[in-house]
Amino acid sequence: MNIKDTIESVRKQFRTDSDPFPDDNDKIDSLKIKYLGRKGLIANLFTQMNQVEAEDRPLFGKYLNQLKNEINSVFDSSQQKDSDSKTDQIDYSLPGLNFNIGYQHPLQTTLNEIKSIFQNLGFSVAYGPEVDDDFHNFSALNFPPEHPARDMQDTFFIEKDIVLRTHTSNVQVHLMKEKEPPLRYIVPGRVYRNESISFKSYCLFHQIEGLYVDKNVSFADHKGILEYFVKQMFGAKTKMRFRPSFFPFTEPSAEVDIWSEKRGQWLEILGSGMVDPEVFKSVDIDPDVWHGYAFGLGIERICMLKYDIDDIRLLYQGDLRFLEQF
Amino acid sequence: MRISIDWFKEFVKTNDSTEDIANTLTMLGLEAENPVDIAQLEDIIIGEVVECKKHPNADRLKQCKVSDGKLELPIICGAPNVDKGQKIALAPVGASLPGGINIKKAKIRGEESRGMICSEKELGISDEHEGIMVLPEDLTLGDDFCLSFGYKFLSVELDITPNRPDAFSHMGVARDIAAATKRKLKQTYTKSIDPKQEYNIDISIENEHECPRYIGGIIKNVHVEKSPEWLVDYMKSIGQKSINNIVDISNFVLFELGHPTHIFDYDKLKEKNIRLQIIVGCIINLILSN
Repeated sequence: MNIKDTIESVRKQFRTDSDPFPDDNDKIDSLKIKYLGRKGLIANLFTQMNQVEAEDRPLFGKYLNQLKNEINSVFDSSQQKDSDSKTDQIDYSLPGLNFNIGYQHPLQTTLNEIKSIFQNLGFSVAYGPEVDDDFHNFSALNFPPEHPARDMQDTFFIEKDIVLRTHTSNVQVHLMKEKEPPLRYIVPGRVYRNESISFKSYCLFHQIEGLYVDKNVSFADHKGILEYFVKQMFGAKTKMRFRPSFFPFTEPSAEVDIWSEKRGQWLEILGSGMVDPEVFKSVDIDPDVWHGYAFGLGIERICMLKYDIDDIRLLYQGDLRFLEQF
Repeated sequence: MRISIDWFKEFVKTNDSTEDIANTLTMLGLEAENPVDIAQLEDIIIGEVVECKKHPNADRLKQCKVSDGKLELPIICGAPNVDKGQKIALAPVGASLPGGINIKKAKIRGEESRGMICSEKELGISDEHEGIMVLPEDLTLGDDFCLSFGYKFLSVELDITPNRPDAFSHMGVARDIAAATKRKLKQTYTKSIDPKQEYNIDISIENEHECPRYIGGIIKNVHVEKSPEWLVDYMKSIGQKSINNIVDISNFVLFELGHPTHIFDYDKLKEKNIRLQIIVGCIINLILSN
């Protein structure tokens, strides 16, 4: 019998043995051993290689390998079927997956608190663009092109006249242009400054802008509102002061400090003032009829004071060890 | 802008403490920060180096004897400029300095040291830490350092907003203090002089609507030398380094009155002309032909 016929007979034999394919593990094992075992039929055929003429060996090897692969693939596909059928089975007694409990970010908590204080006073919430033009971010707010106040903020420029807003005050301009007074809004949002990152400054932070425009508005109203806010936010006994300052878009301007007993010093929490008539003029509101006040407070600063956080970067790192404490 | 308390007192008499002055200024809208309050240095006294020799066990240290008027204290000092006969600021054992330094009795390389000779940095006056602060010779040994000399360096740092360029000088700040505390503002002493046309200098302004006026004058018989002590101390008290009498007097006028001046060497001006170019805003180019 030549070698090729022997291979064919083994193939036929395997086909008979494996059809139908046994469904019992022991039978599968013994079938596997019969053909693919160390002393199985395939191994036996390989030992006959030396009897083949040298020039026929490659051909013989090829046929033999084809057979071996065929048999292997039959076993493989049966195993595949086997494992497929296993995953279909669900163990209903397994415990469910645990989900971590989420925490509100301290900045969000602070923002919500500030918002609710002003909403109770009748302020609505408005939003505005974070990428804005020079007019809304600077010019309309009485920063002329060469004004030294522009040096106070280091700005990210997108294009020559397009900037990442350096304060939420740009929304003041949008509101006054788009709506008819009286206006009573707070504007929370993210602002950007091109500053080096340290424990006290970051390249972005959040502000809440307040704008009140009406016919009979005085600095006394302005002081009253901010005093109410400070007492609500930091407690009724908080010592606070209005300190004269300067912003191009308010006149007169004041900054508000609260006294920190722990540090033994005044800490600035917000900037404010009466809306400068020049700002009203640039948005076509008659400054002889309408008056108003505006203020801007840094959410990070208030959050850090309230929760005694000493490094602003902690607020942006998303470190669970920090966030879980709130 | 750093304001020297001693300097602005030339314009308004006040006995208020540095802290009170800082508070008044802050509530006027000139936010005052980091007052240099030398009044904290209550333990420092005036001393004199009566003996100074090389430390037997160290190349860079000196073994001194410092008199406080009563006793002679052995002190080891590392400053390169310490020398016999100097009046110095002495921190005796038990004194505390800014930055939490407490002076204790010590042995340095085997030799006893009972006190410290202070540098300007250790006193909080400036960043100078290369050597010790050498004081004028007329001070009395054992006197309180602050009362007799240190008061000259009391100062406050003002964060001036862009709407207050008038406050960029001692005169300007004094004007505000005088108004706020209802005190009289002393005017600066000026004397008019008759100009003599002995020399010619040609001043031309390119765009006169931007710079309507430029004033110049010639001062003769000037010697470039070290500034007098009072001027050096004024400069030091606002964190400026004294360069020489010419540079310092120009700076002095700027910090006192807020008026910038430029001083040129007439002998080095070949064609004796000054040409002004004003470029957008306030950049002034002075073109001198030399």
